[in-house]
Amino acid sequence: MNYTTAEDAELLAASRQGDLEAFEALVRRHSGAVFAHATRFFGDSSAADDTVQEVFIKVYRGLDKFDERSRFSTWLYRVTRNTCLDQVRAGRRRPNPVDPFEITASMPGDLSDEVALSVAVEQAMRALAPEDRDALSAVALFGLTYAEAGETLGVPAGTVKSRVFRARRTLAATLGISKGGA
Amino acid sequence: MDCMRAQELISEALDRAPLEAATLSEAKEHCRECPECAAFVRAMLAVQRAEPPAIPADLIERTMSKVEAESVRAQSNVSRAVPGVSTQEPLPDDATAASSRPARTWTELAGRALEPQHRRALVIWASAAAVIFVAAGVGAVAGVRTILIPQRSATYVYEGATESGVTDSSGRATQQDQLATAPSAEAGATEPAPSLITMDGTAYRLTGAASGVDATSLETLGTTRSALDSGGAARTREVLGTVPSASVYVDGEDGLLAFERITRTYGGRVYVLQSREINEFGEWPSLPAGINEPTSASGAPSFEQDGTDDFGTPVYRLRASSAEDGIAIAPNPPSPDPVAGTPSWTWWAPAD
Repeated sequence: MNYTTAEDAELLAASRQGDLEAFEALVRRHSGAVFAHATRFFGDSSAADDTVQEVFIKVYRGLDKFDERSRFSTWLYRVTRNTCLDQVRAGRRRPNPVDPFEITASMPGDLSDEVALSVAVEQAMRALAPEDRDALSAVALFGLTYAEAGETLGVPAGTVKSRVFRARRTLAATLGISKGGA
Repeated sequence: MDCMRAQELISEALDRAPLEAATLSEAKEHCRECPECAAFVRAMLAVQRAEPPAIPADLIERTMSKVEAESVRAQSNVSRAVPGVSTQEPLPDDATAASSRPARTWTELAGRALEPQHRRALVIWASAAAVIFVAAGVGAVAGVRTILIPQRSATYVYEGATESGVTDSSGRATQQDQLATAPSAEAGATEPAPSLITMDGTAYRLTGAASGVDATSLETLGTTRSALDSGGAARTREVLGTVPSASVYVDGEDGLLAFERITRTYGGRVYVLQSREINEFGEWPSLPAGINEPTSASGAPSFEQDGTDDFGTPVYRLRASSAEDGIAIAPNPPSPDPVAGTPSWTWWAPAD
């Protein structure tokens, strides 16, 4: 099997047979999305680091129970979101507080610079309403459809679509690009 | 086409939503002419161009190290629980392809050691050897345990507590944890039993010694009646913490101990484990007063199945009630359930 090009379903099947290299391919393919979601959730890369490890251990332990009625990425998103929420509910971690006004005021002016742009986008992501950020994360980071995200978030697909759109409009406004920047 | 509709369509196109080509063209045309919508498109392109947070260079390696450790542990548990079960492990179909990369599982190692026609014999031999080894280990560790640790009816901790490095200042808890979770320590037990306390009907799990916590900043949240791990009689102890917080602290025999609520997620909601009073570590949680123990495996007459959680564990609700009022989990849910191995039904209330 070519681990780089194999479909998630193939890698899952191989992982179930004990092929750790297949599982590592899944980790390599999806850890970026998990890390980005957790970083935006907690506002802290060390918390995101721990979350990635916790998520993939949970996924590994749950391999036999994943029934493949949904795509792997849908399941992974659900586990990631729940792992973040569980840490907060259990009192182990707390998202760093965000002041949207402060973030807007501290936006770098020149977004043509790639590094400055990435910093600005991440700051703007943190300023989004949690439900909007969740929806955007499901769709843009994990590649879920509106229907898949809706099922996971417990809301209709149309609500996901609205939240994603609202998130994007807020991002545009926070980044100041709608005023003619970048 | 108005601006809002044009931007909506651009957003949907970014999400690969199926759109009519003509409608999308109209939206694009609008965005070319309208300065506000052109700015929105520029912003979206900038967001797409931005690199997401970069993962630390060694994160995948560290994650896989944990996964590999988990794999070895799982293999060890399988061999221990069911003699000969390893023979059910599928063998590699293509030894040539498999040998082009490092062997990373016990089955794979066994598969490579011999030609295909000999592999099964090797695995059966290894399983038999494992059974003998485990039996010898159980005897040895049980003997050592009797000498080292005052025995109670059940002296274990939840797996999660062990992973988080439970210890007290004397190291006693650590020693118990290591013995309780050592591969051969409890060959008959499915999961180690917990170190729990209860306060106001909510169960809290020991997470370790509360080092670095300023006790003067804590307030009394309530009381718990527990012997903790002292082996003596249960007594009423103050439960300390801050509001709002899911972590609480109790003064143990050797210092402040930290506990956290045990939670699970179902249907997008977070639930917290409830239990009758737990009087010492090693006591399993039980259904709260007022909720009757079902008389059948299906949950009847108390419960009926509501669905399954992310890991396929069946979730039950009270009959003629809703999961919003609370959920029940059948005995012995498998790992990684937060109450894996609990021998009775458990009840979970919605988190506030």
